[in-house]
Amino acid sequence: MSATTQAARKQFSFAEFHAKYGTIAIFAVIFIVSLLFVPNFSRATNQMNVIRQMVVVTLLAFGVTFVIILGHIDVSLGSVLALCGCVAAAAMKATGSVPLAVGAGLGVGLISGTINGAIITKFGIPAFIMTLAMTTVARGSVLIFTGGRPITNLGNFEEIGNGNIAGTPIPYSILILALFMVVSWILLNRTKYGRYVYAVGGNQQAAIASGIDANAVVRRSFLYNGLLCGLAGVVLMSRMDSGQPAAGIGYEFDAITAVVVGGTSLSGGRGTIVGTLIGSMIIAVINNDLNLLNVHSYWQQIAKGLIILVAVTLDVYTKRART
Amino acid sequence: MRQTFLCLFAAAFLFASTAMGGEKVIGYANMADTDVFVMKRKESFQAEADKDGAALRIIYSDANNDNNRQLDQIDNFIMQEVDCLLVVPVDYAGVSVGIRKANRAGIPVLCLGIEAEGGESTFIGSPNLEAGRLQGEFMREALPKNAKVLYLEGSAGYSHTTERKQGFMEACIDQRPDITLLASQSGDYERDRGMKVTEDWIQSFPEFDAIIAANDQMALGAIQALKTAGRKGVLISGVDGVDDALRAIKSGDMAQSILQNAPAQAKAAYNAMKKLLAGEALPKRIIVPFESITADNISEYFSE
Repeated sequence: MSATTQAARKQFSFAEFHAKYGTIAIFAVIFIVSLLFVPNFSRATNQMNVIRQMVVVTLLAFGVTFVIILGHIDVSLGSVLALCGCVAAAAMKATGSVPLAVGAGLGVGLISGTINGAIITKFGIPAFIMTLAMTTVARGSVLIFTGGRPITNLGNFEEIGNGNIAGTPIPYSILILALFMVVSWILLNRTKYGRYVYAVGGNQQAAIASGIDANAVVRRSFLYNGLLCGLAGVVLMSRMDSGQPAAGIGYEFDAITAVVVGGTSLSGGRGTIVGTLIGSMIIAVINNDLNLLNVHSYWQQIAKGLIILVAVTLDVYTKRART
Repeated sequence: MRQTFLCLFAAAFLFASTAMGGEKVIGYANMADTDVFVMKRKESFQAEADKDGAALRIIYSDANNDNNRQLDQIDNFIMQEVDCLLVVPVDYAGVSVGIRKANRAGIPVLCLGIEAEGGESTFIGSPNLEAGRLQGEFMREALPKNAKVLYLEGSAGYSHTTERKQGFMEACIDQRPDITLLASQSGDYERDRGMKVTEDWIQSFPEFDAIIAANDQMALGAIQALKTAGRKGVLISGVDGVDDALRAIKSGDMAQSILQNAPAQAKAAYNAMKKLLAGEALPKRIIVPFESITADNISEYFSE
């Protein structure tokens, strides 16, 4: 035992480094390497592209961070997002009002979150199974709702995802992302509810024994997760200037990847919003690099898989080094 | 980690060295490389470029059927200042935002296979409504009085799926009121799904005269299911003209396939692109017709 710790002290220990500086250092390295060696990466338009491209998945990731810290999971994000976005698009077409459209999209997100949370806590069904069921129900609903056709001619709905704040080069979508990052951070770090999330995720029995209503915490987390999913759906459809019923397939895994790369433990109890943001940035930058270097999409998929593997291995490795 | 960076290094170097020359850069935003037909057209396009030998560098991207990813890739092409953008839209409506952005950046756009709803672009391809119509016309002639038919739809939520079905309905069911459409189910453009749906139909319907499928893969799945169940005399029609389908037409298992001519589309696209690069104006649409392949003309398309 002492021999190994000595050896670790003598040599540079990657595990220790990762535990101390975490994902920020990894991101910094990737970013600097990209600046130096990837053509066009440093251009301002490209930087804006990267940020705009990460908004949807990062919003999903913020919401599902709460769920994952609780030790639960949500695999229905992609199809719920499609449903919320298409309802928003339909509301936009019917009323011509952006606030009403956004409200409708968020409303559907809240409803699906409520259903997920209620059934999981009431019947004790594993979140994976519940949200898997929700995946097909939501996808079926959006196809019925739209008749399988995209909803088009949405007036100025496009502004949310593609427009800039008047007189500046700053897109609205980035403002939305920043706002909900702050809201998520406050919820998780500055409220009683946030502390309960960690407590229940770390040890549910102990949390219940100390008087926390664990089920209420789970329900609220799925509710917030649903809200952000609805918001992501609105931003996505607005970006495409149409309600696309087939959109969002596989986005739940992109979001979960960002959360895990950001250092949140899939077994619950550990994780941060800043970590999730950085995880999302790491993936966005690597995706952008691979595109700018014209790496074939088949290889990009392999790269994505390896990134998840490395992140989770690092997570396990650092945890072991710490104990 | 170090090796990854070395790879990135090498790739960056390669990229930088090729970008030095005065050649034209073309962005080809493909819909999904996993789609057999779409991939064949992409390969044919590259083959045209190789044959021509012009100073071109073609950059490919693959959206894997994800509209949002396609828009990201178009953004990247615009940022790299390509001289011409070819896009195979994931969706006719959803691609418009990207096309308008390219328009604003002064990059000419060609839409392959699917016509975009918004923005300025030239469409090159075979309109999907036409494929369904050709299937409908064939069935209208071939089916007996009071025939019962089944329709295998493509993946829900895509415009080409609804257009192919609409074309068939207009040309066949609307024209021949005696024909009954027993059922219409999605087989997701896949062979195994088309087979499963057909197996269930064989259980529910004691007899039917034809299965019309939105692509060949599902049609071939249907043939397999019918063979296993020992049901004969059902007319099968598909779209794409893939080799397996042509073989089935030759052996008499399949009645019709609609050829969407990938090499012809690729060639038309390549020629159009060259004209754009030379500064010539293009028409709004360049149509490459679908071709109906049946037992009558199979020898023109297939010899084995």
